[in-house]
Amino acid sequence: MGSIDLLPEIPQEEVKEIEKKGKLNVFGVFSVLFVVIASLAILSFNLFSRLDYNRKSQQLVDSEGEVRALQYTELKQRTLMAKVRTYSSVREHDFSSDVVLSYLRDVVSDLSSVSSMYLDDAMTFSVRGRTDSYMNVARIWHNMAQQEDYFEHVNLDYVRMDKTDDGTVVIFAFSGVMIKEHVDNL
Amino acid sequence: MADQPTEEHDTVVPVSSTGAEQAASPEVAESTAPVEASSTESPASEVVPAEEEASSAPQSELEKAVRKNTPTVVSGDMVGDPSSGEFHKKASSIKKGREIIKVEEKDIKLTTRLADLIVPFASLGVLVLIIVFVFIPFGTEILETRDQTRALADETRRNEAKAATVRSIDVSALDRTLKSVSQVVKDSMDVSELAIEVETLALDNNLSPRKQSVSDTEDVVSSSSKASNGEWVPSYTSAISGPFSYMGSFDDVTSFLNDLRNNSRTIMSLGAVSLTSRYDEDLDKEVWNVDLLISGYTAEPVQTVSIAEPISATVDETAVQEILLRTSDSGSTGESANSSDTGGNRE
Repeated sequence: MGSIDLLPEIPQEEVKEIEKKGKLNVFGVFSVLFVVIASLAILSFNLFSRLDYNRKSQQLVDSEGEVRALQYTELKQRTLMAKVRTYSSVREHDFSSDVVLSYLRDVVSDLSSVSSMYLDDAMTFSVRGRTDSYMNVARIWHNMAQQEDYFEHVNLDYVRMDKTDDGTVVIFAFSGVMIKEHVDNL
Repeated sequence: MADQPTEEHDTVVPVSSTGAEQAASPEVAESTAPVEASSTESPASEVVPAEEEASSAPQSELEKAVRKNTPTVVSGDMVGDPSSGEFHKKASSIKKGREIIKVEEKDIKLTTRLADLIVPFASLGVLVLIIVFVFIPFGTEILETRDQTRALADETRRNEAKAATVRSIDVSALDRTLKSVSQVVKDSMDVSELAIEVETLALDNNLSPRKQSVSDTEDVVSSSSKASNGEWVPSYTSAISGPFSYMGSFDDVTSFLNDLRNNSRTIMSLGAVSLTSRYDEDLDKEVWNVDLLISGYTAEPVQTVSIAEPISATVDETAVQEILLRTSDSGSTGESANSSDTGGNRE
């Protein structure tokens, strides 16, 4: 006579299912743990970042107060800088008009007499004069054209010969542009 | 009933996998009741395949037979001729029972599987909601706060550097230098001031005035258009300008022009200069008429300043020396030498 097995054998599938359920429970526990830890971490980070922000804000307010206390000196320094900057700007833009006019007169007056000169801040010039022959006008033109360092270009605006009681007189007018960078060295 | 042992049989073979399944299916129990095994039966009555013969447990053999849906007689009441009607009846009953078991197993598994999935999916949903509505906003806020904190720190550093720069300026030297510079680049200038100053220089150079007309203007200083970032930004400077006309010898005129540029107390620039010569019979010599446009520049004191705007403690040393030299030449203040000595913050 054999023994009677009243308890049914647990099949493998059921065993696996029970094991799987156990694993799911462990996963659930870890999930909850993860959520809790992540929440705590984020809250902590948020708290510390807020505290840091408040501390830095206070430091900024302090530094601004320090700068404001020195504002009077800063205003003076800025005024000085503005004035010096204005001076430098004007000087940089300016040029020695007296030197340039003297030079023009020297170039032209060797062979003629200058009746008028004009020079503006764009270095545009014009010279009018009179001489006794066309040849002198040509020589003056040639001399000016030779000075390539100082004259960007030279035009003979007009030339004409007039007859007077003393003889003939040739009236001429040159115009052109001078090179500013170079005339400073005149 | 199915598992109830009898005295005639040695072993009771459970057909279904679990007792629960059996309880849930009385038909199965009924159908399996006659299927009992006995070790006393002759081998001739068995139609179990050869590979299953090796199995030691009779209930396992029956179970396998049920699962394979084969008419099998292991032992017990089903002993007999497989071709008999009773045998087929019992086999059909086993088959029917197995089919019911299958369907119920399937239902139970499906129900169990769905029940098992509800909690994980609900948890997953809650987790996703927490991430979307709590973690992400908080994380974003942390990042934004960090950026703002960094910006605050940068600004604080900039302010501290600026305060250190301003503190390094010698205030007494700055006052002296500013006083001298303000004589050349005035805070403001009246029309009459410029006219008087030009007139003084003209008389110093033996020129006679012909006409003058001065007005307030605002001028663009071309060279000051060079911004630090390379963009063209026009800088407007207050100026008083107007045409002046004098007459005298050519040398006196050029000397006057030179003084206007280099020796005037106020910084001035010349616009168009026109020279015309004529012979003056009264003086018996050549006289030059000069017509020119003169501008005198001013720079108002800085009234407001931004905290964020950086400042330099140095100024253009060359320009400052030129200005101090000009005030020294004019002899009006007599303190340019001191200013030059004490200006320790110049470039």
